[in-house]
Amino acid sequence: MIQIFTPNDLIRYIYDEMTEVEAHKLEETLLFDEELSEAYQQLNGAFNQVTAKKYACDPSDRAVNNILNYSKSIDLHAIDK
Amino acid sequence: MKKYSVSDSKLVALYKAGSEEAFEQLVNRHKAKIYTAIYLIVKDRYTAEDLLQETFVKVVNTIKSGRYNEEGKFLPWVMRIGHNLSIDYFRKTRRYPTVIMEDGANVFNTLNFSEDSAESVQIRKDTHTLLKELIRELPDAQREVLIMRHYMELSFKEIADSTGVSINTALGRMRYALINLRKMMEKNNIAYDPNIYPK
Repeated sequence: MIQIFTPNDLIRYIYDEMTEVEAHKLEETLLFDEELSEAYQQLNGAFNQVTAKKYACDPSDRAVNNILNYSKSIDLHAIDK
Repeated sequence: MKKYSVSDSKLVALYKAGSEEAFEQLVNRHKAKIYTAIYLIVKDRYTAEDLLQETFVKVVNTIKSGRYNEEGKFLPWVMRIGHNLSIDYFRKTRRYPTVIMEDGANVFNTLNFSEDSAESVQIRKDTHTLLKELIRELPDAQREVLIMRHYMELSFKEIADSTGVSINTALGRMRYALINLRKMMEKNNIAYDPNIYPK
């Protein structure tokens, strides 16, 4: 049975939210469906740009230590419900 | 989403049983993700650190008082706390420019970034900053999905649940966000080189 893939399926594929079987079928479809393949290339290009340039940063050690020390200072079930 | 050898729910269970080491693992596992999401809203690292600490104070209080709901996933729950605190921050400082949602469900519909800090002006030419500016230009619904997927690393199912739309709608918004970003990047001469960014 031929499976029809939609542009939204490309998003599921790019973001790794497809089953392996689905992904394999989509990869096969991309080999002969030029329109879908072109849409995939465009979406994947933008995805890679966002991923490669994604801004990520760590909080300071001071902030993390404050959090850990706060937790240690609080007894289990000591807080009013 | 990244898989860990010990799940979040197992670490929460250990923490509830008194293991501070389990809590430390949870904090170290998610601190960058939560901090970055908060920072993208408040755009000031000191404020973001304060809000991160406030977020975890609520997490500690909720778990240690036995009020943590096991049904929900840990990270989306902490992310929601962080977002609510960030929005509250804008309300208190009167820096939040628009009326916030009626039902409280769709915080990003009115999300805006704060004014540029001196620090961000200095790094304006950085491509990270440029990308952030392009993301800011996306329509609200598309920006919402993009931040939740890329920065908060929520699945499309979790995004759909959080925003009250179908998975298909969330997928469609992500697709248009990428299409629009690509157009904007082309307009700004940010070239995509598949040799540099292979899938």
